[in-house]
Amino acid sequence: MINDLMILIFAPLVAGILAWAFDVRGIREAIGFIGAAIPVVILAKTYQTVLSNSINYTITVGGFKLIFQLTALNWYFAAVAAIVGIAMALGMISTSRSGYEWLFALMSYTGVLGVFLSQDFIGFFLLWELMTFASFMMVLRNNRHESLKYFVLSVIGAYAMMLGIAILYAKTGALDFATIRQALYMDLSIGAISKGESALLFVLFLTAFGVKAGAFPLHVWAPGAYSEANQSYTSFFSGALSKAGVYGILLLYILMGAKLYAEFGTFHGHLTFAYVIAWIGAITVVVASFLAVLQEDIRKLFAYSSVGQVGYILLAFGVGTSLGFAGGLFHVLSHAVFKGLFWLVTAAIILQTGKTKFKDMGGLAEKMPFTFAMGLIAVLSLSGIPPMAGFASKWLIYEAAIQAHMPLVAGAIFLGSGLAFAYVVRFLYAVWFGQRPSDLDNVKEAPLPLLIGMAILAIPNILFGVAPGLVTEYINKAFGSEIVGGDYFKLVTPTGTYNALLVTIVLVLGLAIAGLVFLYGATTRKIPVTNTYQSGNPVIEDYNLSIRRNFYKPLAEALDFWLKYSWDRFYERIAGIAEDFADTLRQSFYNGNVQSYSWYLAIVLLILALWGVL
Amino acid sequence: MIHISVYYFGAISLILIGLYAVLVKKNLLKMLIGLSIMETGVNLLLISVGYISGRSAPILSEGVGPNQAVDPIPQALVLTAIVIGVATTAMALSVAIILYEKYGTLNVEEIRRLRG
Amino acid sequence: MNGQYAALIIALPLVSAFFVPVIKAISKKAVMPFLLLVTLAQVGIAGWVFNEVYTSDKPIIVMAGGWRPPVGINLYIGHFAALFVLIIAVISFFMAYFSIKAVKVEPLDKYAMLFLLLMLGATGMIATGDIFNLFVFMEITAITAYALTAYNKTGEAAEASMKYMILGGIGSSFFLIGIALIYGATGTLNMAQIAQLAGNINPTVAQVGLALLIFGLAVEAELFPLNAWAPDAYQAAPHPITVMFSAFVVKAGLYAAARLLYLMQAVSTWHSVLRLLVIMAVLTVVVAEFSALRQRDVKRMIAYSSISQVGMIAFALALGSQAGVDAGVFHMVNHAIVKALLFLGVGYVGIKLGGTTLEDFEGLGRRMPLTAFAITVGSLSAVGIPLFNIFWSKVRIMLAGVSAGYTWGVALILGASVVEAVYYLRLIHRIWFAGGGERLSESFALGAIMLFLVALILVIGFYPNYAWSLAQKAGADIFDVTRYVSNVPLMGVGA
Repeated sequence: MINDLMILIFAPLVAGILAWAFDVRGIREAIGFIGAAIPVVILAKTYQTVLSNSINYTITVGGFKLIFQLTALNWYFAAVAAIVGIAMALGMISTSRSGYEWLFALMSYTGVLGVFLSQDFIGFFLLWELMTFASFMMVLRNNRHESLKYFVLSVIGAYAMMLGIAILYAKTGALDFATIRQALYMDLSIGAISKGESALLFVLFLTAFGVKAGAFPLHVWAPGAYSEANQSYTSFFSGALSKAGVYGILLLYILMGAKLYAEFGTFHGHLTFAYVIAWIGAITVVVASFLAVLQEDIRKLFAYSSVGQVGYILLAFGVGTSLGFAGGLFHVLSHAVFKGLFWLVTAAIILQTGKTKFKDMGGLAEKMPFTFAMGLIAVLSLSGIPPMAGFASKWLIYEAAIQAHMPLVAGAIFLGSGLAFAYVVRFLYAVWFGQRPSDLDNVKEAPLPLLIGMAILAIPNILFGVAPGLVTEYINKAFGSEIVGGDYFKLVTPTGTYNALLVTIVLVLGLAIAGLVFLYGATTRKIPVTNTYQSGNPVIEDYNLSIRRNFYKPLAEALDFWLKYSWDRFYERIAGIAEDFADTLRQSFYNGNVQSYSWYLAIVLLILALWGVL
Repeated sequence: MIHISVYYFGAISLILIGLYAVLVKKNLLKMLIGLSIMETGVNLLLISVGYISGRSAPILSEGVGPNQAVDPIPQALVLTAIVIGVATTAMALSVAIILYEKYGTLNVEEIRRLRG
Repeated sequence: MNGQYAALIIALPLVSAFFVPVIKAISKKAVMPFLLLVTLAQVGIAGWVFNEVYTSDKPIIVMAGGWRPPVGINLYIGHFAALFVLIIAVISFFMAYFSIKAVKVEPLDKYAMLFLLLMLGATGMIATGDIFNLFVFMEITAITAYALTAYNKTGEAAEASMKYMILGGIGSSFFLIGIALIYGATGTLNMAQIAQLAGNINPTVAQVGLALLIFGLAVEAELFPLNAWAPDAYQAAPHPITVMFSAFVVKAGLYAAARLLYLMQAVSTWHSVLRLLVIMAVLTVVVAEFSALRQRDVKRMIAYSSISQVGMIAFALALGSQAGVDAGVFHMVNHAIVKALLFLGVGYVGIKLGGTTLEDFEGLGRRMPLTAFAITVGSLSAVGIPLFNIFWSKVRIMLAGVSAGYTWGVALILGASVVEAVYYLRLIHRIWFAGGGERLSESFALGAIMLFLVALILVIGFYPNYAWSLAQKAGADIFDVTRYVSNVPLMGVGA
């Protein structure tokens, strides 16, 4: 049993190294796939065990005791990562031709699993950095600027975490979660950690996890990084890796929740620190969704969408009630499967067409019917249409926000959902329907492995949509209490009930009727693609809005004032100032004149004298 | 009998004079002379540390036993330090020659191709 | 075997250095092989000493001429010295081989001599147990370093050497004043005895003495703002010499500073000295990282990076805690490996492509894949990526730093590390994803050396337990002054 965990975590890494070393077509893919599949097998095997007791693995490295543990909670996260991981591996068989990509994709897989399973800060930090580094290398290959933006923000986060870890270590003398948690709990009565230090710790960890989760205003790396990696890998990057940040927030609750509550109390009946998280989540949802709507590049659109959807999870955790956690956890799963699916669909589109902009696409549904079907499932799930997993989780989050009396936050969820609908509709129409540009006439269906990968991610979307109770039941067991009632097909919360099966049946019936009407009673009229959106305005060349081009330009114009401010540009400016500062510093200090250097020595002697040691 | 503090005063003055030359003179040779003066000052300081008023040089001879001589160790140290100083100075002067060949000047403000 | 044979670690390079002219008289071609042979023999002796010290778990005390300290000068080869003498020997051996490829400027016999003396000086600084002896070895190191810096006979080399010389000269003068004061107050030059007496002497004299000793060594140890000579010297020196500077010459200065610092714990203002050192160390890290950011010359960039890492070591050593010293020593070992690899790789590129500017590194992944791989591993390790060795020592330093109460220092160092990540990753991008060119043939032996260092980095990165246990023992050797004093068989003279 003990070695299972080690294999679970390190199998992908070892497979990645082997795939990189034997960089031969076929062998590389086989090794990589096996490496990605092993965690799935082990997780499936341990499903029954973890619900009753945890599985442990401890190793001493360099004087640190690294503790890994598979509990009910982190099994859930690991399983989500593993589903996306295997789909990613299948996708990469089709889209990747490089051992380099296999190495770092699988390395980041190991990192993510390790982050979820670590029970001490050194292992957590190590694997966190490994995950960051590996995903960075995936981006570096394609785009230096974007990858560095990602890495610098991530490393600032990671070093903030390191500082937090070091402060916790200095205060508690421990690095493992259990002892730290206990020590912080004890500290409620001792008070060795002051209010300021608690706030510092909170900010440090929030920065660390916020960067990875893409929380506003630390989200700026996400669009570039997500779109500049191999798109099959992005399914993992956005589907699973960003969940590490979310998991970190959960960890923050587990380790420091009591302490933070004791120090900062409540605000309007909510935990103050959780309130901050909830609002960060809500702002992330709104900002990212607006930006997603305005994108002209399919990858950028889904990148912003991903940021927004992770915002939902933060928001749910920020609600701070058990229902909020349940909703957030459910959304972890549904976001992973629908966003993973989206990226695989994107990967298929880019692989087959070589295009990324909406203006170059159209009418692909006939050419790639299976991919289209998968894309449709993802669209439905993302925009929260029953009976998909995305609806169930969003519904739970919404219920949680209402129940916790957070109407503004709930409003953000609603607004986000509306915006999500706006952007996926565009994806749906611009890519799949309408007139097909003539250069896309020879496009073929995506290759088989990629299609299998999509199917693996599509099934949970439907399965957990029709039977959301499967997930909530597990979450109930993981928390050891009945948070969400009902059965496999029905969710019951204190404020509402959602019967997924009933909805499904009604929906299927409705669709059947609509289909019959369409088949037997509908007449169709062909219109040109450009004739969709003018509402009586004359069409002129420089204001030519179609679903493929500048579709939401009026919205952009309305938001003009807000779009002037960009965190991205703000950070770029800070980076520029830092670089200029670096130049000034070295040119004025290391000015080349040995006499100045001698003066430095003299000044130090003077300081020594003034300091009182001379 | 000269008081011991005279030596200390002299040594420190020499060090400061040397340091002044290094910090103010632009000519490399003058800076090197400054360094040498500084070294001399340090050597004098070392000797004065081992000086015991009224005793003679630590050479065992008639009438000079271990109790009549000053501490011999600093003198040994200074011998070593002088040798090292000579080596450094020789080294420095040869570098100065190369510098003059390559840069055509000994002004340290102009010898600054390596910077930043 | 008798422990006194350990004196060979000093004697062998010294005697061999003076044999170089003889060898030259026999055959000019034999000089470099002779150098290689001597360094190999030194590796053997150092290996034996290392084994002896770590198996018996006791330091070897070599008494010169059979005189017991403090009358005779003694060498103290404890856990730290044994470890570092081995590192010095191994790196010197590699560099001796690299010199055959890299150094073409005549006179090679003088080069070989200076090379051996540089190795000797650093070994002596680490092994000696006598403060004036330390000064002598420091000057041997320094003078050979001045000469080797100027060895290429270009204007830049002479300029760098001149800067090094003036700053080093000031530093060593003040170091000597420190010795004079300490000797005047304690009447001894033996380090163990100084440690015994440090608490009882006139506090002002002890303070000033300690501060001046540290000041003198800080110039050698490249602490801000005393490090202005370092980037120039690193850049202008022949490539193998740069490796030696970074891998052990600076470490010898750091070690000596740390050793004296901990020996004189009893001095009343000890903590102020520590705090001052911490401030200087943190500034060293920050300034050096920023200076490296936009550097166009890769060798100079890595020189700045080396300085910043040295600042990190100094930070750890100046924390005044066992954890800090252990972490510092661990970082010293890791840094020696990584910087040796980086400077070796960059130097080899410099020889092959005729320059080390950033443009020369474009497409290096295609032109010199092995060297490019080695540089990449070294860079990633320097950035502190997990599963590379520096990750572990960096984490240790950060934990020790905050535990010692220097949260601000750790925050600044971490902030500067972000800058470090940027320039190294830009370099990696340039190597692999920009430009291209013809593939060049790479030396097999140099490739093997690089791969050996890469393997060391990865082994320590994946499984740091052994290296960490070594570092802990070596750290205890510096930190545990009582044991140091009791290990030196002092004669009952003096105080």
